[in-house]
Parts: sequence; C-alpha cells; structure tokens
Amino acid sequence: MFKVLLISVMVLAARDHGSHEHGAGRVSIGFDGRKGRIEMEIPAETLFGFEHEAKSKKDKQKKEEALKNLEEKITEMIVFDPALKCEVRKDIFEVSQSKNHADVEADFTVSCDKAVAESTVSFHFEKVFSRFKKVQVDFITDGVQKSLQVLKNGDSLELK
Amino acid sequence: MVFLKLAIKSLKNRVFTTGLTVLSIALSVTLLLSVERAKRAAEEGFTQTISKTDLIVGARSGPLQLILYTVFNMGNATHNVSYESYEDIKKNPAIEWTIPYSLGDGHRGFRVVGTNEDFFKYYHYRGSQKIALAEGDVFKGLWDVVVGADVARKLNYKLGERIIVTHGVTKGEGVQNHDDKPFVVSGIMKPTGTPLDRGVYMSLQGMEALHIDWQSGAAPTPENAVPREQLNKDTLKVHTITAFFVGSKTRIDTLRLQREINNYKEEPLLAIIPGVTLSELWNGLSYVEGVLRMISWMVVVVGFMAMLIALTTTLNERRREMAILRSVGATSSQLVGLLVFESALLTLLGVISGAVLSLVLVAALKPWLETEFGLYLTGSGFTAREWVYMLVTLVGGTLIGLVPAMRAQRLALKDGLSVRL
Repeated sequence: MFKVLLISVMVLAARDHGSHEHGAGRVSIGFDGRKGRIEMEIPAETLFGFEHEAKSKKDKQKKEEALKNLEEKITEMIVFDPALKCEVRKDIFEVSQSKNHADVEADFTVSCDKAVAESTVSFHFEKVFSRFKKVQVDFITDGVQKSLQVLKNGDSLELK
Repeated sequence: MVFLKLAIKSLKNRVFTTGLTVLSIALSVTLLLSVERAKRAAEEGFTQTISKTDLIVGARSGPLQLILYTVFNMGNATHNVSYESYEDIKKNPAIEWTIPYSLGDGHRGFRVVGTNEDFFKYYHYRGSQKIALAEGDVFKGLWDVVVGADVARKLNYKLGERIIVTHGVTKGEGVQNHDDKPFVVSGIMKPTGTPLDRGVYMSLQGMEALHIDWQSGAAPTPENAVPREQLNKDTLKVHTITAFFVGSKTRIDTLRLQREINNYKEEPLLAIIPGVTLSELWNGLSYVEGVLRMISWMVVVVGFMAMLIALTTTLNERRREMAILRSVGATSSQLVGLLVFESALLTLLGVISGAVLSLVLVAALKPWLETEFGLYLTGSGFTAREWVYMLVTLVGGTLIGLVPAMRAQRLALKDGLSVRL
C-alpha cells in the first residue's frame, strides 16, 4: 500500500528545494515549549519589488521600508493563538546579494506565555507583501514536525 | 407522537423494502466512515513511520530520495557519507544522539542495514514506540544479525539460524552472495507495522567485514579473500555509511543544525526534518484523498437514490392509505410531513446502523490491517469530520423524502378511494 502511495508521491510531489523563485518563500519555525525561533528565506523581489543592488535613493528607501514592514508586521503574517500571548522579536536580518539575485534571510525569536503545542498558527503573508504567492512553512516542536504550503491568507497549521 | 406511531406502523407494514432501504443507507455510511478512518490510519502510518528524530542526514540528493532509502527501504543512495564527516558532525554540542545507517546489501529480497546499538536505543516510530525484541538479543558479535518481524515470519527464521547476505539489493535470491561470511540470527524484532519489519540489522563492522575483500567492487579471487576467522570487530575500521539519524538537544537547535549541515564544507550533505518531508509528501497525496472521498459520497448518493426509488414505488401501493388519512381529516401538508418524517426515520436508522457497523468492522479487522497493511486505526470514537458526514447524510436523506411527499400531496382524494378499472 505504501509503495503505491510513495510512487504517486514520487511522480506528483517531487519539488525543487532551495531554489530562488519570485513570489515564493520558505519559513522554518522551531519551538521548545514556550520559546521559539522563526527563520525566513525570501527572494528580495517579493519584499522590495526588485533584486538589483539598491543604489538609488528611491531603491534604498523601498528596501528600508520593506525591511521595516517585515519587522513590524511579522505578527500579522504569522499569527499565533492570542491566548498564548506570544511576542516576536527581530534577531538577524541579512540581505545576500549575488549578480542577478538577492535573498533576504530574516530570523526572529519568539517568546510565549504558554507552550504552542496543540494550538493553531495561521499565516497571512500576502496581506502584508502582496507579491507573496506561496510560502513553504516547516514547523518543528516537541512531538510535532509539520509542513504546509501557504497559498492564501488564512491558511493554518494545527500543532497536534 | 401520532406521526411516529403512524410512520412506524406504515414502515412495519413494508418491513422488507424498509429493511433494504435502511441497509443501503447503512452500507453507504459504513463506506464513507471507513474511507475516512482508513485515510487517517494511512496518514498516521505514513507520517509516523519515524518519530522523535530531528534530522536525517545523507549525501546531497533530494529530500524525497533520502527519506525513501532510509525510512522506506526504497531506492538507493547515489553517494555515501564518509565516517570522518559523521564523527565530526556527531561532536556538535547541539546533538544529543545519532544512529548511523549503512545500506547496500540484501538478504533474499530484504534490506540489510549496518548500524549500531543506538538504533535500538533511540529509533522511535508512531510517537514514542521503540524497537523491541521478541526473542534473543541485539547484535553483540561481529557475525550477529537481528531480523525484522516480517523477515522472521516469511523466511521462518529462528534464533541461531545461519544466513548468507547478498551483495547489492535484489528482489529475490541474490546473484553474488557473501557466502564465505555467514551471519547468525541473534535476535528477532517485535512487529512494528513499519518498513523496519522488513530489514536485517547488523553492526557497522559486520557490514565492513563483508566488503573487506571487495575493495575493487568485484567479488574477491581465492587468493585475495580474507577468511572470516581473521576478522575481529574491534580492529575493523568503518570507512563510510549511507546516512545517519540525529536527535538534537532542542528543537530550536534543530533548525540551526540543519543549516550548518547543509552548508558543511568538508562534504556535500543534506539534512532533512523527517516529519516535515513526510508531511510535504502526504500533502502531495491529497488528490488521492479527494478521489476516495468523492467515491464515498457517490455511494451515499446512490443510497439516497435507492431510498427515493423505494419510497416512490411504494407510494403507489399506499394510495389507499393516503386517501384514508385524508378522508379522516389529515391535511395534505400533514401527509407531506408524514412522508418526510418516514424518510428521516429511515435515514436515521441507516446512519446509526452504518456507524455501528463501521465500529464493528474496525474492531474486527484492526489486527489484520495492522499486520498486513501497516494501517493503524487510531481512536475509538468519531472525529468532528465524521459527525459532520453523518449529519449531512441525515439532512440529505430527510430532504430526499420531500420528492415522494410532494407527489403524494398532488394525488387527489378520490384517486385513492376510487377503484381503478
């Protein structure tokens, strides 16, 4: 039975990991009880609207605004259960620029009043950055390792 | 109350057709609930084949390939991981435990895995289930092997049995056997309902000993062959492994560790979070789930149609009953109510019988499904989704009753009282 399922998977679910795709992003969230970490990898185009090095005043302003937006609106994009009273803080923001592409790596630390296990997390990436089309979210906490492809605002992940 | 009495008496009067209608709805509901339960069991079996392991590390390829050859005994690795890299990564302070995994050989169609005793200590599946031995002991000596439950059952192996390992993984009997170096079954594992049951497990040194005189990749000539007696577990050096499992100290460490291993400079490696990859794979199978659910709903619709046909055809036989009810003062809307009530009653009986039948089937087939298909039917009650299915069936069945009821309403009073010539 598993062989049939796996062969179907091999045909249909093979995906390209780690590739740079505009509109796509990857978010990894790890939690140990009440403390957690969010790691985001996003093509710069999705956040800034361009990928070349920001040299002009206008581009620099756009970049700064986008990064500020990312920092301030992270809790609007990744929404933990309000009962958990989670606080998300910026840790490291890094823009890696290559010749034709740029990626943003953003890490956040999370601290909640209660453990996240058994709760639901919802995602609203497109609401804040309209260029987001799909985001691969991986979530790991004690006893739960889950993945979700967020295609629209409100897609959620149950942590059980 | 009058409705109930009348409906029960009327249904009793047509006990055979009533029984068939209830049976058809019951079978539809049983199928719908069983498909839902089987889907849950398959998902559970699939995603919980391995648990409590934070990372699986192998040579850089695809996550799918890595999980298939390590967890599901399918396919082969394109490259190995050097033992030095494994030892180096193992020293990372974020790592709590590791299990080395060396693949490549087979035994009569089953995979042979070289590992160490940590495999029995740390490998978990289905939550916190651990590997346990039904008989014997783990491999202590160089020539000891532990066989999975399926291997022991299918090949009728007992403790002390001598087995020959085949070079490479074959579907049946091997072509090139390591017949100069037989192993002895030292332990038999308890069934796990996972691909672990279809493996033969030996020490990493045992795997190394098999290939010590195969350095050129071909079988050794008589003069190059190293006799079994000359080999010693303590002096054999392990050169490569295929992959390794990692348990990290904290889940936050896991993310960092994954990034570090994926950027490991000495060797191109790939670290995946198994549950995440399995969950991604399962999401890729959602179309199968959709098709199964659609088939079940179609069966429910066929059940409704059977009820509609039964109610409509019996309506003709009940013209006189309807006319008598009208003549004693029942209004046409009361007749509609009676017929809709009847269909609701039939559907309710069908849904209850179907639900009970599905529970009986689960209880009866559970052991067989576990051993034959690795399907673990978890949870004794119904899920919220299953309750919704039953409610939707009940409402649908009740609404179906409106069709014959509207027809009956249109029948004239004299239609039932007058004799047709």
